[in-house]
Amino acid sequence: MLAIAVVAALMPSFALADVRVVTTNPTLADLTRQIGGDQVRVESLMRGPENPHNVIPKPSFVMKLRKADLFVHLGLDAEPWVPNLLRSARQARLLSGGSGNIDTSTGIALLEVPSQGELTRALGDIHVYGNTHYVLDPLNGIVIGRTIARALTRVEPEHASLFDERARELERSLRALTEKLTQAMEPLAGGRVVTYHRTWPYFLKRFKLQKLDEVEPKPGIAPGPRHIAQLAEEMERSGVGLVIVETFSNQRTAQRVADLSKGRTVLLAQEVNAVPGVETYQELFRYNTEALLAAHRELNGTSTNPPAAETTR
Amino acid sequence: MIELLAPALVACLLLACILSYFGLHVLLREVIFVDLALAQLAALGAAVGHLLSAHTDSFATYLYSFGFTLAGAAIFALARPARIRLPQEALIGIVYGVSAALVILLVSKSALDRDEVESMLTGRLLFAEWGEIGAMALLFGAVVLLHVALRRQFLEISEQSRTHTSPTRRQKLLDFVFYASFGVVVTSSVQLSGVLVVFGLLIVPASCAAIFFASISNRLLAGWLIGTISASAGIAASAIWDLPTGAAVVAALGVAFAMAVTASILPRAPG
Repeated sequence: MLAIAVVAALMPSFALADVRVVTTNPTLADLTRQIGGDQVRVESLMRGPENPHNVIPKPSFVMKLRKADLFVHLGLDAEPWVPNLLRSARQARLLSGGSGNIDTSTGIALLEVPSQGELTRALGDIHVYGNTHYVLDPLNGIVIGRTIARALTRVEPEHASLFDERARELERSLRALTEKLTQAMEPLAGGRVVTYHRTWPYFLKRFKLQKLDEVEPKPGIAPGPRHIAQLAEEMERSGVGLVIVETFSNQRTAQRVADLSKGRTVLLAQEVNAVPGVETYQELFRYNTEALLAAHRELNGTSTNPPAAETTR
Repeated sequence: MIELLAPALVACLLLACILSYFGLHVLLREVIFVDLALAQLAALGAAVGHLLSAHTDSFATYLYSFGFTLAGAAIFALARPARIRLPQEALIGIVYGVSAALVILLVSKSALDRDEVESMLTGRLLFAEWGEIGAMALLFGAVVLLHVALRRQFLEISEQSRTHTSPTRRQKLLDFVFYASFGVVVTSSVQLSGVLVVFGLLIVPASCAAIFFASISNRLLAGWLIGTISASAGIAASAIWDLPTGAAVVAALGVAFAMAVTASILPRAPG
């Protein structure tokens, strides 16, 4: 009796979970889950904390792609390990331009797009199309959600209204969250921070923060001793104490900068699953804003009794 | 899965055959890390090529790599132990370390695409393609013909390379040809399979064979056997446990070496 009930309860989800989606990272996997619900089975190739540039491909990556209906990725030149992988998967629909190749940068207003003539290798690991970390603006999640809903609708037209409704639900959730978190971040509004890598322009812009400088002299290039000393001096002079680091940054170097400038580092999640407890797109922004607020309070010596904290919750 | 890893397997078998052979010479000459030095020089050449051409032109880059490798061959051929009173390994270590450091300096100042320079050394065995494997087979075929034609001479200079007699001009030339052909093999195989796999396939089969056999022909046959079996086992492990392919091959070679050492010690233990 019980067994039948269990089987019956499981049946619909088995029967319906027929769109197989592979995403490059866990952030896109979570957004796909939020749009696809029971109608999709989602797998992410990256785990979360690693650098999207240096992913070591494994045989299973190719096997997963071969069985996938849709491949959801950041597009631009964010994931240089993807083209080889797609070639090995030999699925025409997943190749760039194919019906199953979903580039989530479609419709996103990119920041830091290099102007003509500015493109030389002397600038470092720059991205020729613009900054690729656009998922870190919660409102961009709305655009990504719509892109995913459209893609799922192409594969499963009978669930079109369901995907559309979930995309709207995601939009409502992200607008409410953004409003709430922007208010919570008021104490830091207009303030300046240092970031390790050029990961955060979308996040900073949304939450009204400004970037003083980066720990990396050029994106992807480790700082030399002179740059570290100059940066620490610059921070002290401008009264900037927060150094935002990613899970793949060199924590020691960031700590060194923070020590020299009497500031502190704050580890933010650049990806869903990058830090424990951040399992959804929404949690990522809650975690990151709370971490920044906590670091800000601690830096200003009000960690024991934060008067502003009550209003931020 | 089999179809996915088939090119990697064929590439590894090809590398195992040619590198086990070079490994015999490398062991005789006691220049264990010479492949690392030549590979690093090739990477330095690629970095310089990128810098000067400012574009990702793979052929120009290859020419620079090849040029630097030839320069390395000349260094190793001319600076034999008798000439400068240093162990050959010291020279190899210096060439390796300095070229690795120069790559870091070039990358830091000019901001080359690190991925491109690094990929020269890490390889991408999983994505091996039949076309490039075919090209590599042709290149290796040419090197094999050269070494078959000059096998006596190469063996002779390898065996004499540690003696402190002053080399004749002919020996120096042969030495250069040896290192140049070795450099060609190392440069092209490192791009495909990475430094670790090349090092493993070069040293491990030859070392295992040297434990059990004295004659060169026996060592060559044993080396081929050990190299191909270990490479196949590594690729199978990569498929079964979903491991990065190159690292799995090197780990399998490590197991083969441990087994060879154990087998050579065991029978003597009671006595």
